[in-house]
Amino acid sequence: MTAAQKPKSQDAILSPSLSLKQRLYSPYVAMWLVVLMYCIKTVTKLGAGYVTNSPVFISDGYHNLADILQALAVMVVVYLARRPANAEYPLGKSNIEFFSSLAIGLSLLVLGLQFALQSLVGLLHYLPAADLAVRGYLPLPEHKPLLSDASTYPWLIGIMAISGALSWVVSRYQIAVGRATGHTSLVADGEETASDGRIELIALVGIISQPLFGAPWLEYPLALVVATMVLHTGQELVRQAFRALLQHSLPEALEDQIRATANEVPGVSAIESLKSFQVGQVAVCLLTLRTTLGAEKLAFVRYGLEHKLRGLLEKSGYASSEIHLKFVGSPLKRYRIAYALRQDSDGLYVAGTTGETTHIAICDVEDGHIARARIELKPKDMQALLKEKLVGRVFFFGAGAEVAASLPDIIVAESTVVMPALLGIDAASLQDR
Amino acid sequence: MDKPTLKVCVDYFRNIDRVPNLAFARTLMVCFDSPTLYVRALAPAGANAHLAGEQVERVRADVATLTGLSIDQVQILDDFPSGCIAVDNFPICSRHDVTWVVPMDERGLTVRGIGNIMVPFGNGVSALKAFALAAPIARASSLPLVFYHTTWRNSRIDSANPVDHICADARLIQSQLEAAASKLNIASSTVVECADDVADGILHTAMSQSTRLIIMPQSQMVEVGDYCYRVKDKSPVPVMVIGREVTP
Repeated sequence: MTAAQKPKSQDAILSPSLSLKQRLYSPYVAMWLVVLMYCIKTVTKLGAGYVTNSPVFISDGYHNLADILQALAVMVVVYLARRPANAEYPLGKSNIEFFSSLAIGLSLLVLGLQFALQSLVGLLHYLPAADLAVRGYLPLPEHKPLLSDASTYPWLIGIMAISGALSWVVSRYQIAVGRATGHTSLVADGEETASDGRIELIALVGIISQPLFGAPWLEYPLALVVATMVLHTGQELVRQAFRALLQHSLPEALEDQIRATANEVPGVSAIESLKSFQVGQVAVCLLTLRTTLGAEKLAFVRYGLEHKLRGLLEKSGYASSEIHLKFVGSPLKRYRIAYALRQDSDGLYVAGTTGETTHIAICDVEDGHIARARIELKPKDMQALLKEKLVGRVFFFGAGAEVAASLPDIIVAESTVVMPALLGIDAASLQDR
Repeated sequence: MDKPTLKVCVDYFRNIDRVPNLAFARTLMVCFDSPTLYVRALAPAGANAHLAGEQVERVRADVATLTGLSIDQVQILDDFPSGCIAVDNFPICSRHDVTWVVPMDERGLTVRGIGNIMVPFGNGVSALKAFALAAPIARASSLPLVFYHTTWRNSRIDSANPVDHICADARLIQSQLEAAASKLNIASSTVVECADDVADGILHTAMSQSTRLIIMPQSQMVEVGDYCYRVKDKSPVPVMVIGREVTP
């Protein structure tokens, strides 16, 4: 679903004109389905847990009950994040989603650690000597084995298998809706649901391995692997949330692409600075660019640049972008040079020697162009004038050793041309004097 | 289609530190298999005519150093010859016998990456003239062509698609351009829209589609407000304006 297809208001999902696919891609519909799933899981797991006296099912049932509250919290966050921007919050409140991401990430870290600890405790249970030794140093929780018999196994296996499958399907759905609608909290909650699914899968392995292989311990090494995955997911969510909340720059590779894209646009001489960060799913770019173009042309440079950067950021997964471009003129390289000129009946030419020089053109050069040329009659002391005017180089057409010797403190250079007009020095005004 | 051999010319000397436009002229020399770069430089006359030879040699040597060409490949001219391609940011609009290339600040066609060559077209055959110059440039630079047309919305046609509003003459030109590109194995695409302003429409498309050169012929009839000059005046992208007396 593209940004354009997204429901425009909070109530748009009620609109009869929306297709089933559009309705299913509503974050609220997705989250209500998640709530429904957790309600079913909570009831069945708590029911089965109390009937079989299974601590695994009872604790997982209560965990799912907490998931319901979490899903409701995500809906509130989505509601707030979708509130339009206003004068007080010019970029909206979409960053609130990263608070819920942070909370979910932290809860996953706690869950992962808890699960890892339970697994270690379970493993130690099968090594009584080691268990005793470790407990001498660490206050480990009590091991709670699964209490069930042959008559309840099929039920427990069925409930856990269906629960695991549901978690997997719903998590994919949540993540897809979250990415399509740009809701980070939905993606994070989807990751949490997927982690639940993995834990349920391991619980299923434990339930099955007990009667099938007579090896109930098999569950625990697998559980350690899952705990590592859950911890990794939690860590990733916390990291992403921190980056967004503290307005970390967009990924370095993306910033490089932004710079490369800007450099591809005609009229951009250089990139002076780039600041980028993320607000919700909105990528913000503050670019200062150097240019030599005037305002009329810059309007098109701006258009092209915004068009390209929006495309790039959208392709990189951001729901939208805020691009702020500032153009500054290129710093001019300014210096002063002089041309020795010779005026005769045919006009004005670049002189070959100091002897034939009749005039001096003192030229202010800006970025290579002669921006201002003041033509003066040759003074008695040419070197003194050039030094007073801070001239770095003086040009002659055919400057030789004789010229250089007469102006020892000035760099004497060869002019490529004899015609001042080719340098941008308008000699016509002098002719009229 | 034979590649036209054209004289690529550039003006000397508006800048102390460098000769601008030389890089762009060099690119065009490659496109048109043009072995020589013609440089316009005002020669001294009268009693100072004897200095002309020395100036010519100095300018040739300077241009050769700046472009990497050999001195023999640089020729000095008093003025841009009729029918040439003149690379200059300040075209003389009254010279209708010259194809002006206004490079802005760009140094070549692919310096900023891959893009395309744009040929805007209307309902006249002048776009075919532009195509004759666009084709060798596109082939030499391996850039695709983009044919651009903007049309008035026909109130009698109930369609939001600008293509449905193209008049028959423009449609014929479009098909001729597309067929010609296809015949020469040049990748091409066509953009049709109903832009509020022709020059703005061309430039918005050029900027969003990474156009590296816009090629437009001078109108045979319009004396004031010719689109090619309106585009040239606003464009950050290099523009080639084909003089109305030029037959590529």
